[in-house]
Amino acid sequence: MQHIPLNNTQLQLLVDGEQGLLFCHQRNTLHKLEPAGIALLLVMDAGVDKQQCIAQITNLSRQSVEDIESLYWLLSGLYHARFDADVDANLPPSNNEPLRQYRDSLYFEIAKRNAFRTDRCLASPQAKENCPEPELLWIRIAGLVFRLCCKHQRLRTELEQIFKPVSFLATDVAGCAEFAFEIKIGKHAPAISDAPDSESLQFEFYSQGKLIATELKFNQVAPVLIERIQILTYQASGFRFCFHGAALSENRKLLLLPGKSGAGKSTLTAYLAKRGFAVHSDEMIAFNDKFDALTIAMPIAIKRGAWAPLENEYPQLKHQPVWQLKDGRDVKYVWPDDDISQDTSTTFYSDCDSVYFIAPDFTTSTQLKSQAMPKEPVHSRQLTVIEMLELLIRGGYQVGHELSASDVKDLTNFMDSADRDVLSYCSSEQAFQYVKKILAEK
Amino acid sequence: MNNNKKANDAVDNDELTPEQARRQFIKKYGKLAAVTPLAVTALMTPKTSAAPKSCRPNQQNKHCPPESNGF
Repeated sequence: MQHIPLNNTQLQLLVDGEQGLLFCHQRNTLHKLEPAGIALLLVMDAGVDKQQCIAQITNLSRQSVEDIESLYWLLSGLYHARFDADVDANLPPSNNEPLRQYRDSLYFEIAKRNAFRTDRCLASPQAKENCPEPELLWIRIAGLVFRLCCKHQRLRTELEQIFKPVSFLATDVAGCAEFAFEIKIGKHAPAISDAPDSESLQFEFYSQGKLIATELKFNQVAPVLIERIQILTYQASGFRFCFHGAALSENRKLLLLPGKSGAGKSTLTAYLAKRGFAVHSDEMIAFNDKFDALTIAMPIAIKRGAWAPLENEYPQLKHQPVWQLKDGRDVKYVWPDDDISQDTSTTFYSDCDSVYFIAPDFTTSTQLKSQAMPKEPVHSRQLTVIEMLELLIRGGYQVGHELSASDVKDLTNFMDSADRDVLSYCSSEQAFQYVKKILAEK
Repeated sequence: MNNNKKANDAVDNDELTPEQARRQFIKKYGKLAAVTPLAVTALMTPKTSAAPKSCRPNQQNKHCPPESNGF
């Protein structure tokens, strides 16, 4: 990445090949610029007036005056830190909406915790009173204790099975928790809670006494609960950035598998876990200030299409209950290693010598055959820092505090020092062989 | 950054004054603009920073319905 100094000290411009990153200090926002935007910004920054800016770039680019003028207005909004510019999230401007801050997207449990520094023993004591010990489940992840109250016996038994490697007795955690959850049967449910047709019941999910999800079917409860725990865990960790993806390591090498849901991250993670890789997280790549990755000991969610291919690695898949994500996909949960208790202390993995971003792009062999252009079964492409950053962000991301120029600089430097590839493949074995080869090269 | 080294070489000259370097950047990127999109893309803003979830609105994921709010 090359830094281009600007006269406007409220902006920071970095270029990487043909593309640029523009950080706006006043708005705490980061934007991607294409070549026309970079050129136009530099002319604007030299103090040239609007007409001349447009004329100069139109001349060089041979694009239409109207197109360059539209671009000028967008950039002018950023350049002069006008908050009405419609470049925020590419959404139409809303004049009545209050300005958001990054901290606004932290979950309410975290905001409350940060504000009051609540002692874990004081977290929602009323829930403890309402729920006798046999109906409680105590879970410890990354040094945090979650207390779950569930009066529905069958559901509680199923949840106990899922969380077995990270479950504790109340006495192990001194009967105190940072977060108190409760799963209740919905108000309009049949009177007998343990009726054989549990599937017809609807459940409500409360966190710290507040209703956060309703009308959940029996088989939708675990995915909601697991997602809430994962998110609260990284948000409570003092994270700097979090991206959607998996984090693994092997021999002091950190392997990050970012991307959108459905790209093949979890299946590949489960496959690599049986081939010597330690799994730090299946869903969230959370970094601290030093870009160490947070370990969130949770089961891996295996989607329906991967149950058969992973049966050799995880024979227990055959007998696991089926859960359903809100989007309708069926999943089963497996732990990378069922035989051992998971490390439940606060851990950021700091022991690595090198970092690899590999964005999985799984294609079934049927899909491959149906594509018009022939494609290699395994194909990798190196990405620039900006391309990988965009891929990470599109998969889902969160910034832990108000974004600063040093955050952007440190993140791009970190990514610059890492390997960055997108990997297309048809089977986990192919991806494993590729990963093994790449990791052995350094 | 091997991919990008070539692109940056055109203006990697220590002997240029800042003004000359700026002019060279403008020329280089202005010409590239003939064959690249005219876009400014918001990457990180307070509006888009949110807990990563399996399904998010407008994620354009084949597995996620467009109206999904992922809770």
